[in-house]
Amino acid sequence: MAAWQVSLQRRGETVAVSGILQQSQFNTARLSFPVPASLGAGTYSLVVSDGANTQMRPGAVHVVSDFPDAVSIVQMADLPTLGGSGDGDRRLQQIVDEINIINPDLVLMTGDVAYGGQWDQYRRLLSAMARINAPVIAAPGNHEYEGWAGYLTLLGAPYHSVNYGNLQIISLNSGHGRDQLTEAQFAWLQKRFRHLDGRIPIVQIHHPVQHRAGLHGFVASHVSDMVGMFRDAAVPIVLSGHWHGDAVYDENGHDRRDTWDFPGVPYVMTTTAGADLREGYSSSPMHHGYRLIRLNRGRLMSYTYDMDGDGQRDATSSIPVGKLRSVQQDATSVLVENELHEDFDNARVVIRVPGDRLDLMSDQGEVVERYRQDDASVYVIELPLPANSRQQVHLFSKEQAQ
Amino acid sequence: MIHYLLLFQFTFLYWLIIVVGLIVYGSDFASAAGKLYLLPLLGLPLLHRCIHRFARGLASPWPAAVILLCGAVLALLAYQPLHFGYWDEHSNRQALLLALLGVFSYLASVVASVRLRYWQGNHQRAVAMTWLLLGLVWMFAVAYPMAALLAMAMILAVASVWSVPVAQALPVTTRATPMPAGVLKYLMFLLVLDLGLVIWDYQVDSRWGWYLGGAFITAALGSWLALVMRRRLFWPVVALACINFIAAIMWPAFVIYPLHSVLIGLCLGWVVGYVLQSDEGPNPEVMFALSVPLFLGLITGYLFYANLAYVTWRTLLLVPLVALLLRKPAMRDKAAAV
Repeated sequence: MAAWQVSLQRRGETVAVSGILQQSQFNTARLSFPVPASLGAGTYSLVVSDGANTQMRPGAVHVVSDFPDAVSIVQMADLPTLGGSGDGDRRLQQIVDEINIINPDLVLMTGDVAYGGQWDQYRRLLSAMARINAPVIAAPGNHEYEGWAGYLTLLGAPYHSVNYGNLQIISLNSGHGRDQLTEAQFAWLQKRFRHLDGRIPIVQIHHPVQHRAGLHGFVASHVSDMVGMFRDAAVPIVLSGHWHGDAVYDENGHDRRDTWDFPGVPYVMTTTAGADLREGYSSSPMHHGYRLIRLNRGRLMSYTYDMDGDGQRDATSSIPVGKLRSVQQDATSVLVENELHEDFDNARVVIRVPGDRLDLMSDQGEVVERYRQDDASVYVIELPLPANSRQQVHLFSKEQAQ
Repeated sequence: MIHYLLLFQFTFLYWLIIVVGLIVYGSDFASAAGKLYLLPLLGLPLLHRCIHRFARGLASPWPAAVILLCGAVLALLAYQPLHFGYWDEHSNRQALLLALLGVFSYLASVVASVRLRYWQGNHQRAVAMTWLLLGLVWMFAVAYPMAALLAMAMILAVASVWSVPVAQALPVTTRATPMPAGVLKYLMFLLVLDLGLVIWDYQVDSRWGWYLGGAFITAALGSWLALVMRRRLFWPVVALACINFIAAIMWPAFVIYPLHSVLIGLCLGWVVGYVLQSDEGPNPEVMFALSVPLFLGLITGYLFYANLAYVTWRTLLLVPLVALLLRKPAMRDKAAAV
């Protein structure tokens, strides 16, 4: 497949890379290429061409300059229904905006990402994912099988692992007809755990491994083996969705409503990001939300939210949608509001200044990126965003400063 | 051999392609495309009843060439988007092409059944070679999962250039067809039921092709064994099939795939070889008699493996086999004695 040409695009610039395209498992091709040293950190579109056909995937490649010790991960599952007459697109847009303010290192989508399984829905999802300023790693849910070819074509392999610094994100597929891990996939998982090379595995799987007594059929035939394997490999957290409610179980299968910080592996279910809420499955007040997981050197620091604002993290709660926003006030200022009981040390806001003005400075935080887009100058500002705070960020010129 | 390939392509290529597609890539029978996949399944028994009396006419040179070429073109059209793409369960075009291909594939097998009555070659060797080739086709699926469609196109196209003077063929409608005994039919059902297990487990990972292909390659050995020592192998084959069936329930299937594949292949080859080489000589008509348990096996396997929660219930499927062996000694003895 030497005829393939691969390049990365970002903001009008194209960088050709020497790629090797090989046929891989799952009727897919695997593209490997060294990242040119000249390439700056950021999100790139991947362009692959064989001369006759060109395919572009926006936001497919993320280049990072280094891997931080402190890693934050946003996890969401059971996304709003896209397309049609509903407001799913708007709600997903809102979630993407919030995630971009939080500015996590990674984003995980743990299944049921496109209810209905239409190709158009996956394309809408991809378009939204491309706007997230972090690598997005998806695992399929049961609803993906309503349009499996679309998922495979547009989102890739059904189960896979991705290395990020000292972490290895393992995404499993529990979504096929029988809500089980297949034997072949379980063997693959065992192999992954034997070859971690010192990395710390984070596992996402749509169907909960540990769950409420009386429910059957969720990865049932592999539960004890998986729990033992996760314990032995010191997996910091296992992330799931499917229930449309928040819940946490320990490795003995006990429903933990007392504390989030207990010994052993937490099996965490995150509420739906935008689908219908279901009564009876949640250990926290019903809400749409996503989960923020913080790790330091692979050690789990937190994964729940202080919903009632009493200064203590809840046992199970995720972050509710709709409490975080930034609104551009005028040509050079933005108002960022954080109604959450959660601090964000490296929040990011964006200000679009009309015209060609890339020499402005920010009165708060640090301008980490400035570029031209269409007929505007875009400023990306990183700043600490304390809990329950409102901040107005202004851009000003040197002349104004004097 | 091309005639046996033509005969087998309907059963062991076309139907398996549909089952593989629906297992690996999902099925939505509520959609228009999903209903189209069901059409051949529901319509072909009726077609079989209607078409039987016209079999010789269909096998005449020109009708046969048209049927086979249409089938080849349909297979190519159906394969084209799947060469490096995924089976789209909602694609009406794909479902329509495959449904039509089912009809032409069936008609092609009818043509083959007439031609085989005329053909004077070495049937046993041809059957064994057919199994071997089918095995290679399914092994090729590891690289290209839907390659069996391409193989179908090639078989149908190559067979279309053969012209057989069917007037010399034995009359299909008047010949007494020895039907396989109930035990053999049920064995076929059980074997085919397990044939899909490896596809369920590997799913999009097309390494199931190794095991499916392996089963067909060992079926070549099974068909040869049916020729040389079928009398002595009746009970061992029944025992092997049962052991294999129980093993797939008791142990993680992943552990036993290679053995599973070999045992299914041996037994399947023996059963098909046995009924093809009935006491009246080569008799491709029995393939149609075996088609019913075969389709039922594929469908039951599809339903069972779609939900592993019911896996242990599969054990109950052995009960009818035991009943058949106990209650119909005459048929059993006949089967064992032929």
